[in-house]
Amino acid sequence: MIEVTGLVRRYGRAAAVDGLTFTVRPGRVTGFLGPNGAGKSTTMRLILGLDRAHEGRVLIDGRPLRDLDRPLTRVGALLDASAVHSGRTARNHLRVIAAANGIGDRRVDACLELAGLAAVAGRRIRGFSLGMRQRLGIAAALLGDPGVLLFDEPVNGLDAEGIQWVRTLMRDLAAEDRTVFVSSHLMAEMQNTADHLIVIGRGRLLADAPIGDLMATASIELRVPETKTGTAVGLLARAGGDVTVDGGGLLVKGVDATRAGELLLGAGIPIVHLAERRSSLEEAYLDLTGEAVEYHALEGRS
Amino acid sequence: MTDIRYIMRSERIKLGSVRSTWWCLGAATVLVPVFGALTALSVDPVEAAARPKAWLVEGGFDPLEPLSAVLLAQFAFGVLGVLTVTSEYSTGQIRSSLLAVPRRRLFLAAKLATLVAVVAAVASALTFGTFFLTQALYPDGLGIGLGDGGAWKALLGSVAYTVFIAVFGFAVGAAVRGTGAAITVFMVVTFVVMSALPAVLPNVLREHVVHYTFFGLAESLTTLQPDPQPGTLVATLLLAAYAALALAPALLLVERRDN
Repeated sequence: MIEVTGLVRRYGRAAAVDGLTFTVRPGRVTGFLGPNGAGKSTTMRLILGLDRAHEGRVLIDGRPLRDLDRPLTRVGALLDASAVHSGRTARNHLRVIAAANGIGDRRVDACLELAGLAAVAGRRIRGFSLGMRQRLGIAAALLGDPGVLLFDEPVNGLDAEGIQWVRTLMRDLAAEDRTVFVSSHLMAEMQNTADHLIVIGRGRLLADAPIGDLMATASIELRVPETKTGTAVGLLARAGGDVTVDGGGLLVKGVDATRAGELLLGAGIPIVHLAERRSSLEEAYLDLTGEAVEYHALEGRS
Repeated sequence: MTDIRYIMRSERIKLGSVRSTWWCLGAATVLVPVFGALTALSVDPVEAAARPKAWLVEGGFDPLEPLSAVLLAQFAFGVLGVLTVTSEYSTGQIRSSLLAVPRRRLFLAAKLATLVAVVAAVASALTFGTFFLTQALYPDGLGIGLGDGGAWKALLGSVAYTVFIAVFGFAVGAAVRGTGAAITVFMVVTFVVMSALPAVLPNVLREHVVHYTFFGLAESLTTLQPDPQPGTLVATLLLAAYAALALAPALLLVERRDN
């Protein structure tokens, strides 16, 4: 389990991470989503103690990372594929990391095998493709057989087969009751792998919910006779709805279909059309982060 | 907290698994015996035999002259010290390393201890090996044994100085973190500030300064001359003080910096 409390990290006067609090639980894949520059990577580095937090604290299985004996046996991470000395062979790179926590060479070879790198174990990392480096980083994360795993954009540079492999691996790790925390800006990827989502924008928490709940921030489509439109809008707005007039129809958020039906029928307004619209994760995500995106394209604004 | 022996084992593998280590140590291993042997062979046997030994009279014949090749090779050990740290930062390896060892001072300490052990072993083999080689190459009667004139002390001094230079390189690397900048700082301090600079000082000043530079202290520790200035104990303590001073910035900064 990862517990993040009141985490703050500033660069100059701007806060890259601005008071984040969340918990990542075992037994499921938790997606960490946000637009570029939202602070995902910084948060991960703060969790792993690579960058210094200005405020707040992080606990791994209830303890600060610094206090863990042989930390790799508790937490493994793929941060970026460049965290290597490219003059070493793949096997020596893993041996170096493993030895520091008393992990033997047999486990190194098992992880190379698992990551599909056994055939290139003796080659220098310098000649590796981004996809191979990514696999090496994942092998490194698995060395200590840890209960907590962090992956920062793990499918970067992977081919279709690699992506499928990572997806299955993450599902399997979560099924073994491990804590799996995966960042991505690829929403479709999250839709396929994550059970739970933590969404941030500009260093702030926007959502922390099961993926089903986020997709169910549904809206309803509604059509009433044109003469009754004004009355209906007023009625729904008073009930807490956020109503958009869309062509001849209405798009309503914040009032569910049952309640809307009761309201309209109670007021004697005939309903021409009433349907629930489950938004895709992509729409939910854009809704959430729309106001938190740091850099709007200028064209988009005009 | 993780056992330091694990971390040192990791550091030993790190040193052995990159080419730069073999370049540095290889350069020293070739340079020292070859220069030593050439120096020993260039001695004029008649002239040398006529002079008293260096430990009896100042300016006497010094059978350890060929060992000055060890000082020549110090840049190789210094660069090894620099690279031990900067290769972590310049490659991004540091992020993998600190995940395994989040306590950064412990990490640096284990790294330094490993470097010291490796350099001490290599420098000992080189210094004593070159000693026996060169004494055997001398014409009859000129070569000395370990016990003559306190030669063993001078040889240990040479090893100690080599270890110091590696530690100094390490300290600069840990403070500066970039390979190019760190090697430049190391070279400037060692070869300009601590050797060439005193030569251009006014005489009055030079007298006081020259014995306390890196080279001055190396002289004191490696000479057979009687009563070196400063004495062995003071010179050793001063080198230790230089090392501590050099390591201080890195140790103070390491917990505060991002990686």
